[in-house]
This record gives sequence, C-alpha cells and structure tokens, in this order.
Amino acid sequence: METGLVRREHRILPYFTGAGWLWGGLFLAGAVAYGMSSGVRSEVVILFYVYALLGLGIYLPLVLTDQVSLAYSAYFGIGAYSYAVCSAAGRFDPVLGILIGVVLSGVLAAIVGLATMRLSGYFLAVATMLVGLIFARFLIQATPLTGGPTGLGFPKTLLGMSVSRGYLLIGGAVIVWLMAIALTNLRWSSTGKALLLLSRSWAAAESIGLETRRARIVALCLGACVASLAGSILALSSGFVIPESYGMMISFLIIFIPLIGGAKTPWGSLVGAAIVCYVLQVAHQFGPSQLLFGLTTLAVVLLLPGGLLGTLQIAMGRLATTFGASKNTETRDGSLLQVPVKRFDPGPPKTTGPSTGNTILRINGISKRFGGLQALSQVSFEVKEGEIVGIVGPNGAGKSTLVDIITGVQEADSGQVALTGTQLTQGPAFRAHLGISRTFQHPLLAQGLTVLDNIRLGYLRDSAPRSWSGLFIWFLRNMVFRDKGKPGRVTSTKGVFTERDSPAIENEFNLLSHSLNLLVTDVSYGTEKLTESVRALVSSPPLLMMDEPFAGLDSVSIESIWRILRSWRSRGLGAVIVDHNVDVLRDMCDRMIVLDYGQVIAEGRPHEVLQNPEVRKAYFGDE
Amino acid sequence: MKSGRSRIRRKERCVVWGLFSVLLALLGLCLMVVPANTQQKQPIVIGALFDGSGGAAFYSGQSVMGVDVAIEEVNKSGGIMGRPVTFIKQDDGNNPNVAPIRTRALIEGGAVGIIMTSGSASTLQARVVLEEMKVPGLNANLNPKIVQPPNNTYIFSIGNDTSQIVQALTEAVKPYKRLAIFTDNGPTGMGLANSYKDAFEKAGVKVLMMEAVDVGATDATAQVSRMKAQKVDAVFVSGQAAGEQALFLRAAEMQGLNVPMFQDITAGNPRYHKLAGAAALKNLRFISQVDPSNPASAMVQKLVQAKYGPKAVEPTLYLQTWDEVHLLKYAIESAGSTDGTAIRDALQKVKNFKSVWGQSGYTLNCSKDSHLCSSLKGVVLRGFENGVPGPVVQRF
Amino acid sequence: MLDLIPPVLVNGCAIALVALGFHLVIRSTGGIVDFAIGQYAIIAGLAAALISSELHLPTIFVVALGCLASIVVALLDEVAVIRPAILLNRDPLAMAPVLATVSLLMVWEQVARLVFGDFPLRGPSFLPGVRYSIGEIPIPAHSVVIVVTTVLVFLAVQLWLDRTKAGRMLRAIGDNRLAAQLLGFSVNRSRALAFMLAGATVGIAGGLISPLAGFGALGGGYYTLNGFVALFLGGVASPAGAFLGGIVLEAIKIAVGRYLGSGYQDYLVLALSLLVFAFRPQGILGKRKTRSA
Repeated sequence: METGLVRREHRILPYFTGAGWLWGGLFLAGAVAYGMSSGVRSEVVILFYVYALLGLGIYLPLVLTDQVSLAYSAYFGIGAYSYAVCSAAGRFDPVLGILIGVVLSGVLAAIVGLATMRLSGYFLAVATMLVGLIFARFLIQATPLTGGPTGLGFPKTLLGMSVSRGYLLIGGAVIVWLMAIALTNLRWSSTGKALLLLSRSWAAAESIGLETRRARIVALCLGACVASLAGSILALSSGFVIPESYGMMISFLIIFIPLIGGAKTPWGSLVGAAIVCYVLQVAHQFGPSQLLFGLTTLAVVLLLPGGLLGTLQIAMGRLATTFGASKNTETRDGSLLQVPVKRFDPGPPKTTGPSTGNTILRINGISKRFGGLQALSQVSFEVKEGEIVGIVGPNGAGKSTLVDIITGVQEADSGQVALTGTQLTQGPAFRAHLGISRTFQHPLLAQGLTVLDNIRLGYLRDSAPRSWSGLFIWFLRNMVFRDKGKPGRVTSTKGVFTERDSPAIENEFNLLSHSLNLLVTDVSYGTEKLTESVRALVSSPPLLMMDEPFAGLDSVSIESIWRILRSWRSRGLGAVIVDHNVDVLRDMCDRMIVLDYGQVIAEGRPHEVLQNPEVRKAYFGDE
Repeated sequence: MKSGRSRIRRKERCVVWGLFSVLLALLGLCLMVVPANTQQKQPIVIGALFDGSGGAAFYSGQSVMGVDVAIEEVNKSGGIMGRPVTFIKQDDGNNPNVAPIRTRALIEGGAVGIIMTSGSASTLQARVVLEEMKVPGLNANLNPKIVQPPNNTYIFSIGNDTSQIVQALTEAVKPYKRLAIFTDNGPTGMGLANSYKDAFEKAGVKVLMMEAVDVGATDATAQVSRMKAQKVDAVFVSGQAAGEQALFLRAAEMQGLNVPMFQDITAGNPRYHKLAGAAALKNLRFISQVDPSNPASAMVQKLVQAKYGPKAVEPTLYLQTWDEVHLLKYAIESAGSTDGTAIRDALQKVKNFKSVWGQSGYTLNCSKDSHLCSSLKGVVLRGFENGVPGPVVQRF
Repeated sequence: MLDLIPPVLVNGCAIALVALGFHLVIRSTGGIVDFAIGQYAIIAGLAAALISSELHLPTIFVVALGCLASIVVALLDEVAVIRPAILLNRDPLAMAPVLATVSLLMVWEQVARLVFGDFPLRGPSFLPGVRYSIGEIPIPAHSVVIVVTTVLVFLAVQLWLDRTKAGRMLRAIGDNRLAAQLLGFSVNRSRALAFMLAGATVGIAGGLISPLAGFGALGGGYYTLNGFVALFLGGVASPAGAFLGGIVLEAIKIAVGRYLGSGYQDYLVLALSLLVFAFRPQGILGKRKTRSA
C-alpha cells in the first residue's frame, strides 16, 4: 500500500553508492596523508580509525539486526586491556593479547546475547547498559590485573617490533578499509538480505529458514570482535589504558557513529567517525566539546535522518530527477491489461476428488487459550500431497492462530503437529527447513530490497545454515567473498544456494516481470502479496501455508495467485489456504474445513460443506 | 492530511535548519582560523592542560587563574631571559583519552613547559607525550603514581601526594584502631582512596574498611550504618568529589557517627564548607596547604583576587600553579635555554626554592631521584569552627 | 536494619518521581524514552539552590521556581526536538528521537554547567533543623515532606490519567497516534502537556532532593539511569509501577551497600535486572503481552 509519505529511493546513481570501496579508499588515503603531517594530527587520525572500527562493529547488530546494544564499551575495553595486560606482562608477544581480546569479546557478547535473548527494545538497552557499567566497575576494582583506577602503562610493540606512528597510520587505514568492505559484502549478500527481512519481521525471517535468535547472537559476537580490535588499536597507539576511556558513556558515542554518517552502508561509519572525531578533537577550541557534540548530533538526528550519506543519496536522487532522469514506476502488467477485466473465474471445476496421495501434514487435538478466550479447541485434520485445503471461518475463529501454531510462531497448549510423519516441536525455522513455507496476512517483505531480491530470499528456506558453526561460517564467508549474483539467475555458491531449473518458476516470475527491479516500497499491494507468494514457493516446499492471500486484492491479482496455486497443485505439493472469503476458496480447494470459535464444525468437499446448516448459521446467522 | 503534515514539517525544518546554519557558520569560521603552528618566535610559550567542561573543571579553573596571574607578573617584571611569555591552554574535558592529544597540541604550539591542571588520570596519560617529546611538565595532583615509573622522567610534582599527607596525619590518626576510609567510587576517587589505604598501612595504621558511594548518589546512610556497626572510631574522608564527601559528613552527623574525621587538602574549599554545613563539619580536621600566617600566600591571594574577584575561591590551587610558573622561569633561566631536556635537568637541581604556599619559609626541593619536590613543611592541620576553618592545630 | 527504612523511602521516592516522568513521556510518545529527564531534576535542584542563595524566599517558592525551570526545559525539548523528530520518523520506536534525547542530555549538562558553575550546590530544606525520631532512628522533617509529597503527586497523576479528559487523551495518543489524530485529538498539545507534567514531577524530585545531596551540573546521567531501571523493574505500564520500582531499586542498593559492602551494589542490580527482564519483562506490576510478529 503506497502512502503519500513514501521516500522514493531511486537507484539512479548506482555508481555512487556501489563504489564504496573506491570513495572509502580515497578518504582513508586522505586521512593517512593528513595524519602524516603532524603528531597531533596523527593522533586524531588514529582515533578516527578507532571510532570507525567501533562504528563498523556496532553496524552488525544495530543496523543489520536491529539490536541496540549498549555493552560495546565493554568489548572495546576488553580488546584494549587484553593487549595492555599482555604487553605489560612481557612474556608473550602482545599479538596474543589482541587475539585473546577478540575471543573474550566474542564470548562475552555471546553470553550477553544469550542472557538477553528474550529481550528487545528498551529491555535490551537497559540490560546492556548495565553490562557496560559493570565492566567499567570491574576495571576499577580488579587492580592486580588491570592496574585499577589509575590504569596501566606498557610498551607499544607488535610482533617483536615497536610500532611507529607511520606504520600505525597506514596499517590502521588498511584495516578499516578491509573491514568496511567485508561488512559491505555481508550487507549485500544473502545473509545481509535475510537479516534485512529479520528487521522487518522475525516471523517472516524464520519462515524462510533463518534461525533468528541465533543469527542475532552471531551478529552481536562478530560485532564485538570488531570492537575489540578497535580497543587493541587504541591501546597500541597510546601505550596506556585507563578505565575511564571504557566507561558506559562510550557506548552511546558508538551508536552515534553509524547514525551520524549514514546507517545504511558501512561506509557511513567512516563518515560518522570522521565527524565525531572532528567535533571532539578539532573543534574543541570553540567551546566545551561535549556541548558541541551534543548540538551536532542533535542537528544530524533532526535534519539528516538518514545520516550524512543517506541525506546525500536522497539529495542526489532529487537532483537527478530534476534533470529529467526517468523514474522507475510500476506499470500494470502489460499482458494482463489485454485481458478484459472480468469477474474472477478460477477455470474449469476440479473433477478429481480428495487426493489419494501421502499425508503431508497431520494436526491432532490442537488447543490454545489466550487468557479467558479459548482460541482453538481440539482441532484435528490432515493434508495430503497434491491437495489444496481451505480453512474458512468468520473473523475471530482462530484461523491465523492455527497457522501460527502449525508454523511454530506460537505454541499450542496441547496437541501435536506432524509433517510427513515427523513431530514438529521446534521453532519456525526448523519447521521451514523441514518443509513448511508460508505467507502472512500482511505481506512481510524486506524493505529496501527489490522484488527479485525478496523472492530469492525464499531459496534460503531449506538451505540456510541453522547450527551455530554453520551460521558463523555463513556470516564470515559472506564477509570475505562477494555474493551479489545477477538478476534473473540464481548464483550457485557452494552449498548455500542451489540452481533451480523448473520452467514453472519462470512462469511465476513472468507475472512480476515488470516489477522485478523495483523496490518493494514502490510497488502496489497486489504486487507485494504476489511477491510474498512467489517467495514462499521458489524453494518447492512440500507444504505451502497461505494466510489470507486474497485479502485486499483486486480480481487481477487474485487471478495471478490462483494461477500460481494451480501450477502448484499440479506438481503434487500440498497447500493450506486460510481465508474468510468463502466464494473464492469454494472453487479452488479440494477440501474445506470450517472453523468457528476455535472448533472444527465441518470438513469435506466445498459444496458439501457449504450446504451444512451449522456452517450457514455461523456465517449468515439464522437461516 | 499530507499537506498539513508537510507544512508542519517544513516549519520545524526551517527552524532547525536555521540553528544548524548558525552552527555550520561557527564551524566554518574555525576552519578558516587555522590553528597556528608557530615556530619558535621571540616569546617563550608556557602551556597549560586544563579541564573546561568535565568533572575537574572547578579545580582546574582555579589553577588556571594562578597560571594566568603568575605569567602576567612575570611579564611585568621583564619576562624570562628578557623575552615575553605567552600563555596557551588546551581543554581536555578531564578525559584522559584526549589529554595526550591536547598536550601534543600544546607542544606543537611551541610550549617549552606544560602546567598540568586537569585530573590525575589526564596527567598520567599526558606524561607519555612529555616523555616522548622531551618537554617538562609540572603538576600538583595528589596521586603519587604520577612521579613514579614508567614515563616519569619529565614530570615533576610540587604538591603533597597522598603518602606525605598520610605521614602528616599518622600521629593524629595513630590512637584510633578502627579507621575507615570513605570515598566516591569514580575512577579518580578510587585511585586516591587506594593510594591512601596503601600509605596508611605502610605507616603502620590499620585500615578497617573502605566504603564508597556512587558519583551522584543521594544517600550515604548505608555506608554510615555499616561503619557504625563495625564500631569505627575514626574516618578518613577521601576522594575528590566534594558533593559525595559532604553527603557523607551530613549523613554521619545525622546518624550520630560522632567520631573524628580527617580529610586532605580537598577540604579547604569554602564552597565545600557551605555544602556540608556547620553541623557536619564539627568533627572534621583537614590538611591544608595554606597557612594563614604566610605573607607570601597573602600577597599572591591579593593579586589573584584583584583580577578574578569572588571567583578565586581556592587558594591552594592557584598558589601552587603560581609556584609552578615561577619554577619554570627559574629553570629556564638557570639552564639558559628553552631546550626541554636542559630545563628538566635544571628543575632536577632545584634547591630551597621559596614557595608561596605552605608554612612560612617553606621551600621546594627536587632531585634526579625524586621528582616530588614538596615536603611535609608544606602542610598544616586545621579544624573547623562554626563551619569555617579554624586556627591551625598543628604545623608539621 | 530499621534505620535503613527512611533513606530507602526518601531516595526511593525521588527515583520514583523520575521514573514517573519517564512513564509519562513513554505514554505520550508511544514508546520514546527521554534520556534527558534526569537532567531536568538537576536543573530544578540547581535553580532552587541558586535562587535560594540569591533571593532568600521561603522554601516552597524556591522549590516551585526550580520546578518551573524544569518544566520550561522539558517543554522546550518537546517542542524543539521531540516533535520534529517524531514527525520525521514514523515508527515511534525508531532510534532517532531517543538518540536525540541522549544529545539533549549532553547539551543540558553543559548548559547547566555554564549557568550554575562547576561546583555542587545545595538547595534549602523544609523545616531545617526539625527532626523527629522513631526510637533511635532520626527522621528529618524534610524527609517526611518528600515522602508525603511523592505520594500526593502519584495520586494526583493517576487520577489525572484516569479521570480527566486530557489524561485519557494522553493514553489514547500513546497507544495509537494516527488513530488519535484521526479522531481529532490534538496530539501535539497532549504530548506537550505530558512533557510539562513530567518536567513538573521530575522538578519536584530535584527541588526536594537537592538539599539532601547537593547537585553537580553533570549529575543528570545518574538520575536518568536509575529512574530508567526503576521504571522497568516496577513495570513500565503504570505509575504504580514507577513508584514500586523506585522503592525496590533503592531498597536493593541500600541493603546491599549496608550488608555486603559498596563494591557489590552494581553487580546485584545487574543480576536482578537481568533476572526480572528474562523472566518477567513486564516488570513486577505489569501484565504479560503476547509477542507480535
């Protein structure tokens, strides 16, 4: 549904946004040159590197998975103190300290992530804030280890050599550059896109097979490792660590960095770090730096909501539009326009009866209660291969709850769900892997991605890694290797995606062919629903569950979805459609189940069911 | 609806854009005024690291007044080696991360000597730069670590550190067998409290317990209650957070913890007396570095108050920075050059330098082995009468 | 042990008032937390201290004037920052408005420093020198005033939210701003009123506590953090939660400080908060919400 306030982000100037590595590289080269010119400036530039790395570190949980973690001061501090303690002890090369710092930060982040797994929003913020506070307290109290409140001094060496300013300037620039590239790779990879969907809705992300809780923790861990590296660099550059540098307020500063520069792209962290560095270090002669910093961040937050880079991109977009660059807008599908608009006609009536194939889905005795309301009561039925089962009932009958329970989004109070004989007890991502694919009442698509990208997310359903090690490797691999793929084809990347070659899929793609490269924010509601439906089936799931797929659609779009379902059924895979629009389902389904007040009141062939007096009473009142 | 919304948005945006343009103009101005990277011109530059906006801002402000007036006086009497003295300063916001950069900026601005007036943590970090660039620095912080290795060969301290203060107090404190230390739990406070604890124990005084409150806390009842339960018979009030120290004194008074209290030079601040109130101060004795009978102190106080009026509140601080400036002058003239190492060597040879604070006739003495140039003759012990410091109880 | 009850009540009330301010802001903005709230208390306390030392007015006027300062600051924040931030970001849980309040905290801390100076100031107490005692436990009259005032303020706010038209409007706009707008409520005016009310409750806390503790200009962060934790401990959804959270938080801190020593307070608060958040995220008084997709 388009609203008047939609921001049109046109990919009109891809060469600006796509060449981050070039612009970033030039910027960093400039920073190195600036830093070489004087001692003060080199300190400022090194601080800039540190802030940039911190911004990149928090980019992972903050931007990619929407977790506001205020514990980053702790990871920052761990990296710094690990290097410091190792260097001060003098027995091993301090490189070990850096590595220990990275590992410790990752472990702490995992612990914090697991402890706060059920928290979100402010709870997460408070809990992580307290972690940061405790860490700072620990640094002050653990004097024998950390040097206590007055800190620790140590030699600045690495790999046996003392590190000169010049090496630090160049080395730091390279590290920042590589890290930003790695995160950009991640952002545009399948991982990043799946995470974008996660920001939109965890249920949708789970439905495409992403273990959302684990993915969040992995993102947190990796970000913490980067923050730790930043701390080690700061310690290496100063030769001195002190608890005050790693206090809780730093966590807030860190969050500002990607936000000021531009949250969407990792290069924004560089811009943000540069601005923060400037305000705190260079502009201090014009007033208390905290005041200037506060005013600057206020101004950015209010005036430049996308951060500096975001605003720049919008401005350039507007500029290009002024100069007449063509806007990509959706046109109605040309082929369908030639069809005269007529009443919805689902095609010839089904001649075959209920399918005689194997049972895919078996529900037994599902009950669910919400406080005083019994939403579902002893619901049982089966779905066989090649069958389309429709579940209808008036509003409030419990249909969506049933879908949520089958897919694992909610838990039943009692009863079992089995898919091809396997009892389903684990979460939605597990069930997705096993073979359930679903659509939602309101299309849940990843904003900021195109229609095609959203569709391709469906391929992850049975191929996204689910184990901890699998997820870590997935993240890391996508940071190192570029994985963009070309539109219209699916890249084959060693086990993550597999090539699909069914011509039927091409048909479904054709329905959307005019909109494939548009952002989902720019397309119509009908196209969104279609996109979600195609996403649900590109991976050929054994069972497709659709929740109110026709709600709010015009007859043209309904026809498109119907075409999909028809080709679906012909391939022998099962589907469950939940809707309250009985007319549409009547001609589409092999069997119909009617729910009312959480109970199954009728089941059977559609025309039989609809003659049932109880059903008529439920829908139309008394006869 | 849409147009109304965008209308409001536009109005809000206008206002905020206006403010932002002002800010941008200010920042633009600063870009045009390129910070001067001066070479060695005729004037001799003395730099000060100060805190203009952080937790140590009050104390730092007082110290800077001393530097400022001292340099004025030096210039009035012909400068150093006949050359005028320029005073530059850099604000580190009491942020020890930032202190090294500011110190470096002072040195690149031509400073041949740096006066440290920010917090101890800043001084500790800044030392590294002094060491690297071979420029001497002077400070009067309480923290004894400042003149201890590593990185201590270019920094001098002319104030009394915690071990000297404890030495002075030992006799007064020795009769009490159950001494407690109170502090705030910020890093500076904890650092000081720890070093006081070590010093007391080295002097043979047992410290029974150490109690701390959060910075910003509104209550010290629990801490006082704990002390009462342990039958504490004397308390040393440590830390540098005047608000929390006053909080403790008032809580102790209210709950009837009627035991002798001792504090270091931080109790000399008249604003602190107002904060605590007369009733809470009655048991307090403190080490003061200002002896009212020292004529030199009175003279400098008059000068500083002439320029800064009622804002000049804490003589301890500005008297010491006055001394620091004059020490630098002496060292530069006795070395005959502005080379950092030469000045440092001259400083190490300082003997019987007449100070303007402490007891009459108090002198500063430095050596190669000890960059702590002060002695116990710097301090006196005073009590309180009716909420203001009373007569000197003991001279050391 | 009984001697700990007065400070728990007194400080608990102060923190509870700050938590109440948070609650009002969250309610009226549909979820935004104003990090600068602690600083409003500081400004109120400092203003009261400054006015009292310059003008020697009766304490109640001084506290009221301090409160006025806090109200003005809160209103300024709402009009100049929160309102545009909300307009520019449709989702009320988006970070931008909240981060803007973090910036505001920094700005107001520095402004307070410039106006009131760097040294802590203490305001006037009610009935100074008057002390009651229950057994051996001293209870200054001022502490009684604090507790009584807090209870009255909470009652008043709860009544306002339940009974008055403006109060009910506040709850409506918090729940769904768009729907409220469509129904003709003036969302901006309601929100401004809520901020002023928050400024008032927090200002009362500041004015009343400043004679006990003495405020430093940079002290806002302490109240913000404590008020925040207190609110989420007690239950973010109701004023009663704010009150309970304040008392419980201070009780824990003071009890731990008394019996385990000062080093352990923060660790215990963290552990407890994590437990509460993990097992009872709606707070002690809250009702459980189902998870949305």
